Amino acid sequence: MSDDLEVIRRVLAGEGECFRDLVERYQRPLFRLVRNLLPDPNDCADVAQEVFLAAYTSLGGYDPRRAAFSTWLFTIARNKCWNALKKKRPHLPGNLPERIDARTPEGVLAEEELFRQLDAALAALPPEQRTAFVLSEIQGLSHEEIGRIEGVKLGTVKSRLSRARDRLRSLFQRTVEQP
Amino acid sequence: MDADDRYQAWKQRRAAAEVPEGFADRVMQTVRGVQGRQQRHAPAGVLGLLFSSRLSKVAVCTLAVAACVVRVAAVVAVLLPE
Repeated sequence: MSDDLEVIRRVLAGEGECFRDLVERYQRPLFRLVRNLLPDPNDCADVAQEVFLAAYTSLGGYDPRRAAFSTWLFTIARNKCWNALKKKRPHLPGNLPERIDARTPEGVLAEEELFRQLDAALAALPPEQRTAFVLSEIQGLSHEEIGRIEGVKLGTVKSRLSRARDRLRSLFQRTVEQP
Repeated sequence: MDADDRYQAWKQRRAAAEVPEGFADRVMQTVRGVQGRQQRHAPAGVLGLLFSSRLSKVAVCTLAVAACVVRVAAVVAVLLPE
């Protein structure tokens, strides 16, 4: 955190090349977030690049008293992803498959099919539930951090997360419990 | 592998998104482009110094408002009877 602030101070002082430190430090978690929020993997590199560029151009507006740099960066990423989703296709809520078809060959192929359908189920979640799920379960962020990124209260985060987990879990359970 | 293990395995796979090779280089290339544009468009000399920070901008605006108020007061004073 204090290391981030030192790098930010140097970038703002005109040492633009220091921004590379921030890119290298956060590219992996940022890419993971973008990859999990956008359905099309082909869009990820472009959106992740846009996020870093937006962070660079508005770095002067970052206030370390309000949030950690990572939280600020993930907020930009979340907004960019939502914008990309809006441009790409209209959101269709309730598009979850009724159940996962597990009538695939045993072993790896069956698991691949299961994962593929869970991916589809995640993609079909409403954006706010999907974001909460990804930030919590995939990124490992705390509920407080998610609240700051989403700009919502703790209770809202918990309820979105609970609904997302319920939908994915029930879909998953229906599949694995099938004879 | 039980249901929970498979669920965790799926989440781990989702978390294993790889960064494309040379991604940081591409970002820095774009950043340098932005830097170049910012430098070209940055006001030079005294103006550049005046608008270099938020504090100096506020100071310049305050001075401008004060000068304006003084000027208006001078004009109004001319019209007032002695």
